[in-house]
Amino acid sequence: MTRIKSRFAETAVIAALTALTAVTTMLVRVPIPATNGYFNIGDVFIILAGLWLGPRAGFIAGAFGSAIADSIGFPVYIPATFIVKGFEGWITGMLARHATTGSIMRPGLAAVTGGLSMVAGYYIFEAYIYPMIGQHIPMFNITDPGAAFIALFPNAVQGISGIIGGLALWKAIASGSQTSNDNNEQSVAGQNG
Amino acid sequence: MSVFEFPGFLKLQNLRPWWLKMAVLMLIGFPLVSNRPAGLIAAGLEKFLPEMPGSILAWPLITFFIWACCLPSLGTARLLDYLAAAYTMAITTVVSGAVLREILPVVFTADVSADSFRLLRVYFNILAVFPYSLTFLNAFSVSDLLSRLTKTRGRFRSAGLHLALALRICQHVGEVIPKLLLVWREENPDLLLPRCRDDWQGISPLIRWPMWFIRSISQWIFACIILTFEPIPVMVNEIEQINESRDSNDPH
Repeated sequence: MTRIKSRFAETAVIAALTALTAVTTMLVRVPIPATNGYFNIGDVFIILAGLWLGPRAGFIAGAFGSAIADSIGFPVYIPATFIVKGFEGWITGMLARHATTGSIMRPGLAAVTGGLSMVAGYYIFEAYIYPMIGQHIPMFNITDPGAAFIALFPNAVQGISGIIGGLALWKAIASGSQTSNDNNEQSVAGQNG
Repeated sequence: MSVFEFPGFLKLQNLRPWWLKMAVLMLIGFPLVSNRPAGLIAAGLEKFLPEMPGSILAWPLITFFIWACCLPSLGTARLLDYLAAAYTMAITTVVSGAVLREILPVVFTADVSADSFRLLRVYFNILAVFPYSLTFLNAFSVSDLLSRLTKTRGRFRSAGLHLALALRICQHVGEVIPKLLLVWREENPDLLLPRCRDDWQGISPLIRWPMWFIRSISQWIFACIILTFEPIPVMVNEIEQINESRDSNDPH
């Protein structure tokens, strides 16, 4: 996790990552008829938020960014998405705490856990929770265990793509921050003689 | 960065002779230039998973295959550097395309879902092509080519030297592109807080925001140009020296 020094700047970055999650999820979505859901590329920014700014940022970007995207066209998935994607960002951030760009192992494991939690989370919602709620509220009766099994595959692909993208972007940003901080420290040291 | 080191026989740059290396690289890249492999995978998947568009899985699977082939040659750290640039490029392209679709619906087909398919395909194509092309370029050694050329005479030598120079410059540009994000950060450390600049006191936001925007972009372009073109004269000079030394050693 790479801290941004100003808390306001951190808020701005979290807001930007949330918006980017919403935009990338919303703009490119390919429908999956089996589950009435869709394939998207928004997970990159959820993993990035978790790795870069920690569990709180990961949760906000995942839960709110993706739920905003679902609110247009797929409102029935908002509760599942809020919990599953929020947890994805949160768990990534939790496990990646104290990670540095020196080793890829810890952030890598954190990102993989985040991605797996997303795949497992959607499966649980689509196979068990939604059919159960659907018995009382017909709106939620859109999936069943068979459809949830089919959705495992696109979700896994979406997860892998998000893990690798988030990790790659985090490494580039974190290395950049490190270089920038080093330069600033050198210039301050130079000014101080 | 502590990373796992792959055994030498898995690295494409160690493949000999050069034509076998070229053939293997072309075989790996074949799914990127032909629709056939993706079509076959998609058809197979649709039989196994009904109610699921097979293409959604076929393109990412091809992309993952290409990454897996590039990984031993590039190493984890370098592949991630390339992928950072590839993801930036892919997301920018796809989001711009999707925004254009909203603004100019006439240009696109009436079927939003088909357009999304197309954009997703472009997305995964960029993610695959970028690391693949850099692996391809870096798989061939310029110094090996030059050492071969020193033993060559006639018109092939001149053509070979031009090829070596072109390859070296392509490799150099390939190395520069993934660092553009770093360049951006170094050139604009105050990117997120432009209002806090001391030299902007008393200037209207209507002026300072466009000023900041233009300046950050121009600085980035300037840095990119410097990074890309600065070493080229040195490279050209090296090749010219090799050429001249050979000429002077020529008996006639």
